[in-house]
Amino acid sequence: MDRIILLFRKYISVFVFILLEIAAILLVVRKNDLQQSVVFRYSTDIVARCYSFAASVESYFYLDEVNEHLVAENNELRAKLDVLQNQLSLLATDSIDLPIISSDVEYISAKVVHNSVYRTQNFIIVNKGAKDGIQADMGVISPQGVVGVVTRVSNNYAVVMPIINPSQHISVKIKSNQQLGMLVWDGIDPKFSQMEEIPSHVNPIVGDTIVTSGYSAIFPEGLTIGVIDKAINEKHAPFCMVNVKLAVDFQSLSYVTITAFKNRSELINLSNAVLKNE
Amino acid sequence: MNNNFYIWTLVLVLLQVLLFNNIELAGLINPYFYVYIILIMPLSLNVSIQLLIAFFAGLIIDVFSNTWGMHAAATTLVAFIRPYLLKLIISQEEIEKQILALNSIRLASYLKYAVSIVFIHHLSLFFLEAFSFANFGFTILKALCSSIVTLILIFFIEKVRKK
Repeated sequence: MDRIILLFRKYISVFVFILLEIAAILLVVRKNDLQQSVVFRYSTDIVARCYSFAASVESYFYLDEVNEHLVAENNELRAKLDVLQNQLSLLATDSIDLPIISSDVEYISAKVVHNSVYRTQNFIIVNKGAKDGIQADMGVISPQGVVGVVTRVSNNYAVVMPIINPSQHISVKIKSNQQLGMLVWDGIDPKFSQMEEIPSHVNPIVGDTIVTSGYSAIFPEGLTIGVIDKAINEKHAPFCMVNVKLAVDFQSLSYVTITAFKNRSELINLSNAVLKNE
Repeated sequence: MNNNFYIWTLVLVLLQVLLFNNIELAGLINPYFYVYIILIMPLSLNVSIQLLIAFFAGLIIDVFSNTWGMHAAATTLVAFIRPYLLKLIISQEEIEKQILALNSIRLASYLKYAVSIVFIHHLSLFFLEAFSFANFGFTILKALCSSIVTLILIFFIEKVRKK
């Protein structure tokens, strides 16, 4: 013990230097945006690579389940396709030239590399990044419904903030009466979220579907969020509390689709220009 | 000289944030004159105290220029390296003199001392600012040009103090 103290006293200047230097570097990284973004870019890459490796081992054990889901989805889509094709051929026999309506939404599929469900602030890492065309603020969906929004992108990976994160607010509406609201998670149960800003004169009915409202540059309208589970309407409260059972099972999330509006940069620039002029 | 030093520190820090921080010529020249504090810091002070003074002087400059931590890191580094540098560059008898100024040690020695301290400080500062090896050449060029201007300023001050 004495020798340790002696050593400490001999090298105290070195220790003070190291301490101060670490404090300074910490300040640099935490408080400056450029440095922070560089650190985020490299750290996301390294972390995601480790998780990717672990996930590839894990996913081997879930291949059967995922296969089943995919086959079921395939069948569903084929059925829809058939219906649409029938409709099309029916209409086309009227010899009107139908214009081919190209979709203005682009879909990129990605695999979930890391997921967290039981924390208060959850996040997801997927294995597509900047080089696949992913940018921040793109929407992420799964066959079951809306998953979240991309927040950070590195070259090969992207970090998604799911709707089970209290910082994530999504503009939603009740499908049956088009009533607008905001989906905010309270941090308690990853299977349920809360819809806010519903005035109490609206009577939300249990079982109504909640979908995206379309009033954002991120999600097109009509994507499933979930189903109303409980609606508590107190007599003199201005807003009612609506509990939504989320359609997406975040625990078993494996493959997601990242949606990109083809003209989203145009939309964003336009809305920014309007906001500036206000 | 001791009390003088603290007044100099205050004056230099203020001068830096009010005057010299605004000098940005051709995107290359950003002189950081407050490094003079490290040059004239009395050798007799406890090393830990020296480091703390350097850290807080750098931190104050940081706060004023919204570059949290960069000046603090660079200044602390230079203050720490100073004694080892002196042992390397300047002969023992000159260090014994306790005052490092143009009028007490040889010109050549003072030149070596000032150039190395200033250059190391500016280099680490600009590298922290860039935080990547992207524009490596440009960063080094900036450090070089800014060091030269800082050294010119330091020489002026030293000549004035000689009298």
